[in-house]
Amino acid sequence: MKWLVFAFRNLFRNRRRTLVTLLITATGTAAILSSSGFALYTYHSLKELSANDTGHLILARPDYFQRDEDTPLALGLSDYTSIQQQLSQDPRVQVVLPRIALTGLISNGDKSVIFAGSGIDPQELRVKVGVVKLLEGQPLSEHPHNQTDAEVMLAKDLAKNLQAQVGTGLTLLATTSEGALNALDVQVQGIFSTGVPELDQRLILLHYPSAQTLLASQRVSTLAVYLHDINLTKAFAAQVHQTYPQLGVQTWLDQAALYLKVRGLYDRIFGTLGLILVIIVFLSVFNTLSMTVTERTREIGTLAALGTYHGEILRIFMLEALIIGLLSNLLGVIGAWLTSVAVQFIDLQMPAPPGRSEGYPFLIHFSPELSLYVVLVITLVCVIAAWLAARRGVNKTIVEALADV
Amino acid sequence: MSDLLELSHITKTYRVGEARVEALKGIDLDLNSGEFVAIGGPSGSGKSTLLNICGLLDQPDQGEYRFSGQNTKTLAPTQLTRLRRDYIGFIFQHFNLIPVMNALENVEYPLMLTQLVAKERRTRATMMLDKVGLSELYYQLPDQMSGGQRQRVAIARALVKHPQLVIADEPTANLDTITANQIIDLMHELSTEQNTTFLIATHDERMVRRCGRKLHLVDGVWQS
Repeated sequence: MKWLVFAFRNLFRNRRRTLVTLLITATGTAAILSSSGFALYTYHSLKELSANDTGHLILARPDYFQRDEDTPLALGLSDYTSIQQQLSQDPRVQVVLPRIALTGLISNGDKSVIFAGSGIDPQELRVKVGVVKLLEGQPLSEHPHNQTDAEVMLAKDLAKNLQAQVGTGLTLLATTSEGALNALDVQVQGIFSTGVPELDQRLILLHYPSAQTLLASQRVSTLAVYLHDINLTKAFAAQVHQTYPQLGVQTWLDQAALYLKVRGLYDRIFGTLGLILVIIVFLSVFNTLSMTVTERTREIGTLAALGTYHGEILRIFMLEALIIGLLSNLLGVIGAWLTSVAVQFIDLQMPAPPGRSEGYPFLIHFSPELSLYVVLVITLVCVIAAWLAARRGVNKTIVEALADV
Repeated sequence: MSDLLELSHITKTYRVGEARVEALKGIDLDLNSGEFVAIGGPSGSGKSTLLNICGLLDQPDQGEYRFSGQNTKTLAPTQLTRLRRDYIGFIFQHFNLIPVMNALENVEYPLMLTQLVAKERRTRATMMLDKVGLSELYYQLPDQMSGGQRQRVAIARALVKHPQLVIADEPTANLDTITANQIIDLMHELSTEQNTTFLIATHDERMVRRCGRKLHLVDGVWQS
């Protein structure tokens, strides 16, 4: 305790220098936590977005994931209803939804364009939070059989291309599972945006029974399993794999190319930034302690003459750095937390990332766990810097140190 | 044969640039417990070098130094530190007090290095400060004290652990006459009281006169 008090008092010898070091280190900690917090927010958002888009688990025939289908739904699931019912009874499962992937032509009578479609259960629009943004009209009806024509939702650029509005009648043309050409009259129920320009030019959504009619098949491409908690994905996937060995199982992560790319990029960017900040903190503390050691060389000689071991003298400087590290980390963590709170009240928007048409909010996720790691690393860096700086002074002979002016 | 320290044929050479300076040229010295010894001599005669060797702050190039019967040449640096910690006190010309510690803490510092419990440390430090006449200044920082008061604190710090040997390098050099006389009296009194050996390098004739044994060093050799 005495040594700690001694170290603490030493920090007040040159208050301005200590304050500057403290502020540099605190700024470093806050900057690391804020930038990492932004990355964490981005990871979290993309993770949720990816899982909401695909479902936490995607079940299909194993070869569905390995090769393209020769004809639509050639690799589809026939017995999906029983699997859907069985899985829906698990308390961890929010909903199990059939899905059909299809392509074809969509025509307004004057003009035909290629579409990429998804035959879905209307419930999917409710769980796809943040993936589909309804711009006009209504989402697909829960009870579509009352309608004369099948319903369709068009992505905004496709609607614009076809000069379609809500209520417009269109025709879908596609190859059936047996290779014949089939047509289906549809009515535009809603217009939406995905935020991805390529999808907005091509994507349509329709009820999966409508898609089955168009493709003349009773199969579905996949079953999307939405869980209550994304963290259960891995364990649940293993269980499904065991229960249904005939099925291929992929998780949202297997299909989250954007998430993985962004994470890889941000890990590198923020990792490098963090490293630079740690180096700045190291140099700052090293510089401060080096000056301190130089100024206190005679005192080091005196302490050694009085019988203080080298290790004990080093400990004094390391304790000083420890105090600087802990105090500055405290300030830095508070600063990062305040920043994370402040950005919630300021509507800051990030520009649209490559491949997307819309920006996203600039938010910082404050993570106590990450804070603990950063505090430990920065404090350790401070102590190592002090050790290196103090070693030079302590390694002088006592006579040399005492003669220092 | 002395019971505290024996130096035989001690030599020490320094390099100053290209030049070699022979600070000590075959010095012999025996000291017994309770002796009050002054080493006089002009500047550069080797007094401080001899004190550094006697205080285990430096090692001789040649010769043998036995402290309490132990050959110091065979001891590791940590063992030398241990000997200084337990048996040797230092009084410096510039006092060398720790500026962030008050008088009491400065005196307590050598005891902090031992296994002594806090209460006992504090008792001994206050007693020592009382002995050197600083009972009113326990909590004063060094820069709030006069030169004489600081040197008293330094003396208290040197003696608080009851060392066998106190090395004092020009202890009165920075003090006025009255204060210097008081300091000399104090050191003499404590030496007698604790049976501590004092080895004092000094130019101060008053100090030399008060010492039981007077040695004179010129150009690294004793001069009678």
